[in-house]
Amino acid sequence: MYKKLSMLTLILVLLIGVGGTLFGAPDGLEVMENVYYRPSGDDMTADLEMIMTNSRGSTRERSITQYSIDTGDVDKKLMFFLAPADVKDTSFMSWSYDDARDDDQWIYLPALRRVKRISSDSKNDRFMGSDFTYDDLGERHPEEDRHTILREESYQGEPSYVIESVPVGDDDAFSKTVVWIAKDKWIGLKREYYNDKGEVYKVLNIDEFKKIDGYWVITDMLMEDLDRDHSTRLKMNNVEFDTGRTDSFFSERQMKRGPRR
Amino acid sequence: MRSLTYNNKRNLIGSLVILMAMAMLMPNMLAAKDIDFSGMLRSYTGARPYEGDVPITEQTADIKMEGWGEDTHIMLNPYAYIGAGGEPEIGMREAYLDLYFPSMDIRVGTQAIVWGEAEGAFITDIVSPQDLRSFILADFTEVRMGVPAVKADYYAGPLTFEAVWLPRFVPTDQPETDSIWSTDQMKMMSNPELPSDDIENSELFGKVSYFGSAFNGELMAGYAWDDNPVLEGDLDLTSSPPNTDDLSALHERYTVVGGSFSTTIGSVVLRSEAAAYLDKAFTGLANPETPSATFATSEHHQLHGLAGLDWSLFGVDMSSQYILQYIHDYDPALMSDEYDHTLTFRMRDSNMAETLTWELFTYVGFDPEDIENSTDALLRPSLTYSIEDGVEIQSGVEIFLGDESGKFGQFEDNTMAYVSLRWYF
Repeated sequence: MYKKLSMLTLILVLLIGVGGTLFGAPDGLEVMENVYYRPSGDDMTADLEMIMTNSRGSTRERSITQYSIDTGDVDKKLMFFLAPADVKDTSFMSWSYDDARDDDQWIYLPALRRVKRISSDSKNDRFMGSDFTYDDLGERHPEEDRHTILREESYQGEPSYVIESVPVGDDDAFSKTVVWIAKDKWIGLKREYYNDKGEVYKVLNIDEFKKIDGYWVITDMLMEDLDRDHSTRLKMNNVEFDTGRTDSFFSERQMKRGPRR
Repeated sequence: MRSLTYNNKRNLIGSLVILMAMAMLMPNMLAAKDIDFSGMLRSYTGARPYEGDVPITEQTADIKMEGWGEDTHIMLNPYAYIGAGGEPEIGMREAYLDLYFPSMDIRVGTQAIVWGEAEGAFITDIVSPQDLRSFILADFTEVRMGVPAVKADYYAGPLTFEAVWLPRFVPTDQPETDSIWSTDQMKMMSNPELPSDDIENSELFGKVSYFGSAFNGELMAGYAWDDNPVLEGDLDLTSSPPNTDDLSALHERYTVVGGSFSTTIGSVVLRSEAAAYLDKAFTGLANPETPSATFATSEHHQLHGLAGLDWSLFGVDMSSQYILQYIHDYDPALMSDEYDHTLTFRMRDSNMAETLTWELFTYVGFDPEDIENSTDALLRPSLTYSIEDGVEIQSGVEIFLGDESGKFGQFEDNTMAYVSLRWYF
């Protein structure tokens, strides 16, 4: 009897031990879900500064004010272009849905004085001539890729998971990405983009992140296009969370009116 | 891009309106907490290879001065053109004051108002008249004229209710009689009688629009003056040029109802727009053979519709539209066709980090029953290079071809190559 109990205890201990290992260490999908669902407030405001540098070292700058809100099932984003002067007063709005629906997108062009609905079939297009695509700037849902933990290592002094993500669909510009995720903060620190030949062609480096209003946020990143020898630095200034902005702000009315009110 | 003869149609009244608007707005601008200056300088040169001349050498300054208060916004948009002859044209494209309330905006002053979904066509977009002194080749911002108006928008969730009152009628600006864009018919209509500034001659427009995920839509109605005049009376054909002393050009009233719609199907944007112009006046030519041609007007309903698609192919933005105009209860004596068919097509792409942009915009007019002889077109290829932020050079060709009696083919001799330099600040 005692022998049977000892054996049962041993099996339970083993099961608990194995289970602890199974449930304590997340898999690749769980890591990426932790990043995707990292608390980011109900709404956010930030000023974006984009500096593009070409192979000759000459630079061009873009200034944008961005507002976003999470209404539960819809993430809404509204961007106002402030500079350079030829794109000033242009605004762009996107509504992203938690279900499988395509994003709704509109653009306001001051020359046309009209808010135009545009196709969302442009996720691989460059954003304002930068090295970021619209997809890079959006929040890629974890289920759009298959994720595998390659290893764990320290990166920039942060204990990190190194995750390989392979797109499920066939409409992406890359064949896979490898991303370094800070373990306790659930922030991506670096991402490498691979082409069909398995070569790295684009690298995103996070140069600064901080905790603002209680939320971790990336405030300085550099995207380098190795094929074009071109890079884009994106800085976020004046970041504010939970400002109390309401859903009604994300409207045709505001796109025409601009960011001031 | 335009004839630089100063357009003095009732410019005294216009100037007074502008001055009054400025007098009202300047104190607000000075008191505004946030003031912004921006604008554009442009040098434009156009040459006609068939004619061997350079009819356009134009310098343009377009300035925007904006001020923001707590719940107000003001805008002054003066402009100046200087052409080859050195004659300046100075004007105020817009000058208005915005008042913002929680669920309502009110805009008072000279303003350009844009409605509908059409690109390069005006169907429900008839509130602001057009500046057609350069045909339809001017920049989008310059084609629409600002008009003195009071506009109120009331917002109720995804719905917007808009009402516009234009206290006095401002017609579309047609080319001057010595312009390369003036036609014989335009010359006969060059000095139309304008309705008086009595309040009963004001124009009213209303619109309700929906903005949502599934679709965007607008329903509109208006009681307006036709921007394009009609002819009445006799034209003496025995003299050269024909004597127009007994011929009158005048604007007539009509009612318009219409709407527009856009939605997304997969990766394609579908747009449509339609309007019915009720009891609109048209010019008829009763006896063109006799020594004096007799013109008379008659009223007909006219339908104007558009269906369009926008899509992307290999990263190139594409757009196509079909536009139909139809005159109900047609009389063969009318100078306008019973049916008018137009196709538009646009391709646009940017390369080299969006510093180099090429575009082709095409209008094609045709009659389905006689495509071979009736087709004419305007092809507008252009190449734009951004030299640095806010500075761009553009070169292109405006190619008119096809049926010489068509709305585009008649300007074949005006086929033009151009280069322009723009500096934004």
